[in-house]
Amino acid sequence: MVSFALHGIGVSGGIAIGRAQLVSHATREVSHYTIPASQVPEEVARFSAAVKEVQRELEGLHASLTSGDVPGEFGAFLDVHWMILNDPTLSEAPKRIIAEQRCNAEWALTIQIGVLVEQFEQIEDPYLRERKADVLQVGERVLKRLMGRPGTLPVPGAEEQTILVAHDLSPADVIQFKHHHFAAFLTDLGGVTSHTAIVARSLNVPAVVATHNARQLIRDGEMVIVDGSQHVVIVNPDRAVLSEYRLKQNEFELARQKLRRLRGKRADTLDGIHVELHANIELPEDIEQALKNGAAGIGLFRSEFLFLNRAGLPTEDEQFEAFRKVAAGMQGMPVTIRTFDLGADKHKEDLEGLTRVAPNPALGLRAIRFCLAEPRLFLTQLRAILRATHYGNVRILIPMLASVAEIDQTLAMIERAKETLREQGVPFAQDVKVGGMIEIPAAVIAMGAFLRKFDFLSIGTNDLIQYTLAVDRSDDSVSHLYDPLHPAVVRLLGLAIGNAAKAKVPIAVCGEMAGEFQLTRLFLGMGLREFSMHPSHLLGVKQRVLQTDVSATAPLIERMRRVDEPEKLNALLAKLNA
Amino acid sequence: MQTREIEIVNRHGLHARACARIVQVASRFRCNVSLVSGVRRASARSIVAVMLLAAAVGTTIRVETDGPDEIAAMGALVSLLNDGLERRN
Repeated sequence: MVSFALHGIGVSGGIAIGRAQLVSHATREVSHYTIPASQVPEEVARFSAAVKEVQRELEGLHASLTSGDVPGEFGAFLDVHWMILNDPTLSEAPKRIIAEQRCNAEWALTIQIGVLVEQFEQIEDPYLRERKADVLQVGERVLKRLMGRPGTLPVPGAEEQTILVAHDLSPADVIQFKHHHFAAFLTDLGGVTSHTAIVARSLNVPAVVATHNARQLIRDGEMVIVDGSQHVVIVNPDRAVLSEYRLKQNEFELARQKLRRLRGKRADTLDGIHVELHANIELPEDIEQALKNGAAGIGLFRSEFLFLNRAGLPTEDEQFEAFRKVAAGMQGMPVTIRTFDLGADKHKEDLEGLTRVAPNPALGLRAIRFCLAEPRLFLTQLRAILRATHYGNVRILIPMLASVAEIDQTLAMIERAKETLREQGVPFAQDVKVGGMIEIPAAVIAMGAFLRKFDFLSIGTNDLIQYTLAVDRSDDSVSHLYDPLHPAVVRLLGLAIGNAAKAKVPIAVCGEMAGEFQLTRLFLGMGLREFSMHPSHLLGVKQRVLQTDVSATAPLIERMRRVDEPEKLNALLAKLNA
Repeated sequence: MQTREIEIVNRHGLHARACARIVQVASRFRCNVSLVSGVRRASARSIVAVMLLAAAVGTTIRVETDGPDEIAAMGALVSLLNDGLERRN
């Protein structure tokens, strides 16, 4: 076996040594993994069960039609789908593929759908050719069933560490992979703020992204070293290299243990300024990690993750239950729930068929825009959040606001949600605090309305940078232009924090930048007193807070807010951190 | 075995619902029922296969029935293809 090295961007530090496990994706978020021969019957059964479920679903729909007053066409349409579902080309062929290729059911079905679609595309008559849509719709129904109840990935053995190698990971994968103990992540695509990066940091495992062709070059089961700190991947290392890395791995672990001792310590600077260090979470179970790392609250609960990786939409009760769990679990500490930010990169396949194809999703109908366009969905979520305020210290945070009209509409919607709860006598905190996210440059430049209308503000740096520099952070070809220390970004941040301080409106930073300890002093010097970050960064940032004298940073910060050259800015930052 | 050549007279050819009717009728019999259009051959029990025949209006397809009730099956299919497809939707 030839030893070779690959270079990428290390987005999560640390060293992992283990065996490669390859994962790949179709256009939809279908994962592909190999299964051991012993698991084939189980996988075939899972497929059959999904077909059965869809069959019952169609029959149920049909039954509900005959009782109502609907045209007979619908019944015929359902008949066609029922027959397609039970056609051996769809209900039997994938089973053979599972057995032959030893792959998961989703993948086998995706292959078979592809085969059928290709045959349809060769049909000359355009009307008949379009019937591929029926096959696709039925196939996707089954796929969704399968994905709603995902199969078990081959679980990494207890002794062997497993390294996940993928072309790219979607947010939907993220949740699935959270439950498996991978020692590291490697992806062909991605950048510092890609989802892979975010998950890897959340799990505290090393990750190298943008390796371009790791997925092709690395074979299943090969020995791999991932050095997230040095941006390097070594495949099939020789004995000397291996022992050197084992040593490095130990050193890294020691440093981590040292940080752990800071957990219970109050986050005060050398000159006695108290700083709130909060955690960003995606799912209720994340609070465990937040508390373990000494979080003083939840600064950002990304509620859209409740919508991903599932069939259908979460009901009000389901959402409420998730919010209540977090509110109660944090025992009186502040919990900031951001209303769902769907659209753009976090795509939900079918918000009950509401998804529209946008030419430029980041600038399209996402987050609050989507919520205001779909008031029914928004009200459901607002009611769920409001109900949770009764069980803890919950605040509401609204993403992606740009204009006064949007703020007014949103606040009116919150009032409406409150009204419906009052009518039903459901308890909630009448004086719940509502905050706005500052993530569009317009919000900083014309900040007055935000300062007057909201109880608190939170800067989402990831989007603020993306919209200020016009760079898609997940696009590998331009991700090098995504620069958190661009002078324009630094100035906008300084402006936003300064404006809020003057108006005495609490402001936090909850983007990735908040979790980078090299930037902690910069933010403190600008006047920031509340940070929210991935739980895994809390202790590193706390260490930096404890070592900072804010009064001494003022002159350097003043200069940093004025320079135009990135090199000078970086030099000043180095001085600030010295 | 029975065979018959039949011209498709449906405006949209063998569209999805027409295919569904064919499969429903063919499934009532015990014999094998095949449809042949050019080089393509389909079991009349598989809706996807029948759809993939892509028999547009004006094409002629061959119906083959083979088995104990092949004569009855042929009769049912011929009458369906000749006039029943559009009306019974």
